[in-house]
Amino acid sequence: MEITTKPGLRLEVAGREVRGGRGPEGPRDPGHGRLLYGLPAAVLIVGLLIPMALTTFAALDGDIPIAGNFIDVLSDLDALSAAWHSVLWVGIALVVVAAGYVIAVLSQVMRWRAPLYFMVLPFGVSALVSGAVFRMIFDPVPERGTVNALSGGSTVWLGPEFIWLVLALAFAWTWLGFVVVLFRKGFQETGHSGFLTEGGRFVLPKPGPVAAIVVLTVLVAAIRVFDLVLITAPGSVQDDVDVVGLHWWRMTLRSSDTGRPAALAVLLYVFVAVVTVFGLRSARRLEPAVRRSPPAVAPRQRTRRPWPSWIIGLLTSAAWLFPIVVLLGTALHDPVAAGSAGWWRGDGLGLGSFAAIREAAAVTALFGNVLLACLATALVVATAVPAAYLLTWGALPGWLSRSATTLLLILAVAPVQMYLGPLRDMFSRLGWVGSPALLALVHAMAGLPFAILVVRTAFLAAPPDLSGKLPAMDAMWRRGRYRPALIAVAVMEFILVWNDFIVGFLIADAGPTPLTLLLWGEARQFGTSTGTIAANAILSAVVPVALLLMTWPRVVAGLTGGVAR
Amino acid sequence: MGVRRRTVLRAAALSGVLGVPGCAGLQRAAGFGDVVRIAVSWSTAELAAFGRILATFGTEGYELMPLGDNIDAALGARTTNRPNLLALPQPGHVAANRADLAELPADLWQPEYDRIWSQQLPADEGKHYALPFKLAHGSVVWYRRKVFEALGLSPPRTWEEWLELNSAISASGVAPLALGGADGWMLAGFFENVLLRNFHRTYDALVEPAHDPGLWESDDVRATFAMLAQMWGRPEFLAGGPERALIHQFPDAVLEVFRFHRAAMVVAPDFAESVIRWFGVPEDEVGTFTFPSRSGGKAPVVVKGDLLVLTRPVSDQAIDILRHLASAAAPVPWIRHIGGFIAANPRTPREHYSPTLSRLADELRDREIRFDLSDQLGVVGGREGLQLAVQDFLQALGAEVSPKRAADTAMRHMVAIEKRAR
Repeated sequence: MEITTKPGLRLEVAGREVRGGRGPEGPRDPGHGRLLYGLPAAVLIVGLLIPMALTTFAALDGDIPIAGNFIDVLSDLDALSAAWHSVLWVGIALVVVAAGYVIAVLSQVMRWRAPLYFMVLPFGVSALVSGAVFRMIFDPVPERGTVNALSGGSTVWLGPEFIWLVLALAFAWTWLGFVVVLFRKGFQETGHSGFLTEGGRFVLPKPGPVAAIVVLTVLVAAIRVFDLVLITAPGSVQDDVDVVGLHWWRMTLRSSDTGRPAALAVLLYVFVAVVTVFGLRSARRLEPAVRRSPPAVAPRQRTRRPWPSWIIGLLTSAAWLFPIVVLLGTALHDPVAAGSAGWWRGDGLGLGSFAAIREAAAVTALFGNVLLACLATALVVATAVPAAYLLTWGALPGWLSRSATTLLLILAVAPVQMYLGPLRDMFSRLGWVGSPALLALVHAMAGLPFAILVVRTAFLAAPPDLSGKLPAMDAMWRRGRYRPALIAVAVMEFILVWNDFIVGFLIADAGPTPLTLLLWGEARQFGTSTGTIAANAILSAVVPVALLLMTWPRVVAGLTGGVAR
Repeated sequence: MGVRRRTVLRAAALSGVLGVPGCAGLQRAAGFGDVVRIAVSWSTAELAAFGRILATFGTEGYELMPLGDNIDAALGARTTNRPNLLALPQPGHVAANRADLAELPADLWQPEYDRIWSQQLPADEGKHYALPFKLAHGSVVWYRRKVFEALGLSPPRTWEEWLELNSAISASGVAPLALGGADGWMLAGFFENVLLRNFHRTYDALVEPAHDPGLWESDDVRATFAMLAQMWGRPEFLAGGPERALIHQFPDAVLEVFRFHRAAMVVAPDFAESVIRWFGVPEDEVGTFTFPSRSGGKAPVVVKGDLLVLTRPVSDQAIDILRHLASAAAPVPWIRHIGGFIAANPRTPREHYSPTLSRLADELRDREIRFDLSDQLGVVGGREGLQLAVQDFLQALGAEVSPKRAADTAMRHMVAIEKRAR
């Protein structure tokens, strides 16, 4: 079954080729009752739209109407420097995507399995933790810093000269695995399992529509970078790596003026939106001209892997595991030993650092995180699935489902700077009691648009029911074909909320301290607190990493609209 | 293989979630129960020390939250789940958040507090909203005795003597100074000391709210930067050179002297002692002298401190904990086991101080004092203001910009930030 794709529809975070979907018989229920499926999601989305509108109004309300705040921001040299740095991050993201593509092709040729687990692992780690690890590795003090100890030199890695390298490595460590496994899934879906020859010509495999997800996610993540920079760069270097999101935060700290920060948030949003459009366009070029249908499953040859494949796989795994080793090694020293000597030293081994963080409410924070992440995930899944069902099988008019999809995409890439300020003000004016429920609600609002898009894509892409009947709502879980999408959405949301720093940081009063905030407090004096920082990092990483390692093949399948194989 | 791996992972995940005991944690996490939330900006040794003080009160009923340098953001929070009790590093936060603070029980304020705090924490209709908890002596130079002994040197009394001493130490292959330039407050502290110990009238004038922003370009400020350049302008004078000095934080600088032995001296407040003792440096290796002035006379010294505040609505449990912390004996565990603590409470027993801290506490009591400049200047003295100006100054010296040009840039920055803040 072939469906010609309309340009508007292609904006969605597309998964596999759209097949099936709207059944030939149309909806069984022609009434409007089905619209109720979209109600909870609509409420949350309005909750997101109102503060975004308020931010936009604040941005337009300057000394000179409409343009005043924007002129102020664009003539602020510091803001421009931050904007330039955000552009650099786009470059870093593109390099990461390109490198991920190359590694995906090579891994396909070398038929890796185990190394993929190691590469995916950091995706479950928060940006705060990965920034902390790389700051430890590149510590300028030769007694503590791994790289300086290995090289015997004393390069100031965290200084203005090399800080970008450290940041880019931390970012790549987190994201490369995600890029690689998604590209591999793409090759699988398009039937390109490695190097091909077409008409005697040598061509590279094309990942298909999954490229859109990869490019988009990594680009948006790079532009939104906040906590990574905050924790990795020492205070005196912060200005050299200031990015728009951080600059916005510093503006809000510096004065009570809301107009200029709002204008900066709007500019950031516009930038993200433009990058999204271009990212999606260029990603489409990676799609193969001719699709193979049905996708050919790569024949599993039981030949032996050549030895270079083993060695490269081992080296890659070791490189990816190394930061984890540093983290564990540091955390297993007592605070004094970790603060004054490297993690490789034998003296001072013990659980002292873990004991220290237990005193600082880490256990409470862990429970808080469990509660928060579960609540937010439940909220998102419970609202996203009916909404996606309505969008897919609700027989909505074409214009409505198209504009709803576009709106969701626009909201999915919105930076938190667009809505957190007004939300925080609203909560405090209402005097709402800070509770995990409130924070979970904010998280759910932020995560919902992306979740609906993923679920809808999976619904569309799942193999059609041969009987031609519409699936019932309660069949979403029972029928295996939709399950990966639900797992993907739940796991992604859980990990996002668990690892969140910025939302909790900016609405710090809205509940108990999340683990990431605790980590940030510990990191105030970084070098001499590495023991407790590492222990805290491990405590906060265990749950999401374990969850990711257990589920990633299904998450990948769900994200790409495929069925786990 | 696959099954086994999964089982192991699942078990690991479960132990992460369930392996930690207690229903109380879950209750607290959910926001139930009457737990007093105590937010502090301290970390590492000082956090542990404060934990010890709280532990003498009991182990239940409170939760300690280390919030780092953004502690004032938690104070601005308006919901009932914000911290009930905060230890604030700057008196400026008190006035700025007065509406959210509860008044102290009347009997907690002691008349002795007025000498240091009357200007910073004036009574409002006879009521006080912040309780001084910890004092800090901000005009201390710490040195490693072994370096001085090996070279036959004694602590300098004047600025000139200090410069000569630096040259002698540098010639022996050890850097005279360690700086914690990543923490802007440390460099700003150096600047404040040069200014106060040599030009205290300008220091006082800068604190006046209505002063002319052009004061930042006065001869005295220019001379202060020129003196800083004498100390910082030669790369071999700084441990690791200016580049690394800008990456080091406060405790790193202390370790450069007392643990890694790459430097001989560090300018740091009395709480450097907590770092020194935390890392196991014996007391007899540690020496201090008061920040020298050009004349060698008895100019004022810098003082600062931490305060305890209660937020509204106030609970009986929070008041109980505050009363406990306000008692004379409360800081004793910190003083004895961690060090680097001078009690604000005049009745705290003195016999627990180390010899060094005892001397510093006496000096604070007997000498003429001035409250820390950057803590009084708000934004102008903060990360974007004085701290940034002095960081950039050090960076410029490291890049071999002439001291005069570097000083001009710094002073222009200060005038601009002062104008913007008004």
